[in-house]
Amino acid sequence: MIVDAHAHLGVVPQFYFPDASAQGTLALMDHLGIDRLLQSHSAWLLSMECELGYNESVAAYEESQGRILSFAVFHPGYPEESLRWVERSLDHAAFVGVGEIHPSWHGCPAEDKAYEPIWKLAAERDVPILTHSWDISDYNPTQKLSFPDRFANYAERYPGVSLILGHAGGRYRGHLAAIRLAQYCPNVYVDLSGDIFSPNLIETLVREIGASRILYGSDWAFIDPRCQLGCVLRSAISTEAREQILGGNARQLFKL
Amino acid sequence: VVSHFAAKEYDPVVGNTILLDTIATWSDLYGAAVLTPEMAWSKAKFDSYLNNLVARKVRLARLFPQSHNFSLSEWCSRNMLEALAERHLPVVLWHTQVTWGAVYWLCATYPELPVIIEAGARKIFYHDRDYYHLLAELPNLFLGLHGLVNGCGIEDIVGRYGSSRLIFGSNLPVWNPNSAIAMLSLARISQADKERIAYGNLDDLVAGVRLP
Repeated sequence: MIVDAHAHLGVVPQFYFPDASAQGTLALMDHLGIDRLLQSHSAWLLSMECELGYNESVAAYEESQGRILSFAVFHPGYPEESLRWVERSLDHAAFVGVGEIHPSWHGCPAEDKAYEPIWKLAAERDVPILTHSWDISDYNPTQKLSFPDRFANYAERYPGVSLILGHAGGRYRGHLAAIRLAQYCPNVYVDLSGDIFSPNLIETLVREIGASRILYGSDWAFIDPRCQLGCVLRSAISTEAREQILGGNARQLFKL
Repeated sequence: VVSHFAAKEYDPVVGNTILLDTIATWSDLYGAAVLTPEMAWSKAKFDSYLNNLVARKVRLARLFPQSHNFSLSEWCSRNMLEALAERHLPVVLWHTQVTWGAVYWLCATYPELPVIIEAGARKIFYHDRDYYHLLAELPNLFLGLHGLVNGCGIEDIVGRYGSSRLIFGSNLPVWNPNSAIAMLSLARISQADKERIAYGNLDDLVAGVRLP
């Protein structure tokens, strides 16, 4: 079973999307043999359109007969409204976790106390948290808000909550920091989504933190799922590790 | 087709010299030389330099206007661009090094000059509203494949403009080439289109390079 553990339906206004619809997503999943896809709706994540994102997430779940599952987005700038939507979402079978927490996009550093309610809720509801993580960037100053080190305090205080560092820290120093955090906190996972195509990244992650805490993800519809699929399929790792990364770990983590 | 890092990060002349020595010993390697406007201050010397590059397996020219602090405008780069156009030697530019207005000007001013825009290490698809329109208007504009990583971007471009405008590239060793390979090999386009993108289009451009 292949599970794309980091994707998005919907669009953003900054550029043109060839197809970010549920129908288009399903057609591509069929073409590539992707069984399940876990998404945070872009309208909810990036535009705080909670109702639209929730409704489209539920519609995608129903249209896909349960193959497209969703994360419920928490925005620390609107904690009360956001938390209400997350609680409502987690009562619905379409939702399997909280995310994508996005300290960079939401302008709130990952260690901020504003995230306390969502960590508490994730612990109570026994669901993973997916977060954006990235390196300190020369051209995007907000990326530093999602540097992996910043999640350490919460990850340590909530050992029962699985935290998935989306994009595995993004770039070189971020990758190293993600590895450090995962080595320190057994509840920290990484996913391979985004344009993170450093040669030997997957082999390095497997060696340093083990295949059982690495998830295949694409960042669809921003990034094509074929990119990272090709990297995983051609990486120099064992067949068992490849199967864990492509879907085994996600099945276990999200109880699929 | 490879370049040497030193040509961008240290000195184009030194980097190109290392490049020529390297590709001379590897039959499968061809060169992309890095050029700057001062090389063409003397037309005779630049003609000689370019002819030597082409004779020694250089098939593309790379320009880094931002990193190397020069303008593509005629008052700065005319001699260089005219010589490249005369030879039909394709020019590769990273989208982070030029404005889309400059790309339009370059392609429209030198219609016989193939221009390949690629992503470098930064995603190019944030600019798709610009390059879609440029592809529609400029037949000598091509896009490098490795940065076209947006969802179904390849299928969408092939559906609108055909497969002749995409050039396979991997960004090796900065990026894992399996990304670009999988994007193309698993694309929902015909085998003939895949072959054009994988090698056919670049073959055509390289075959068009000529000495005056």
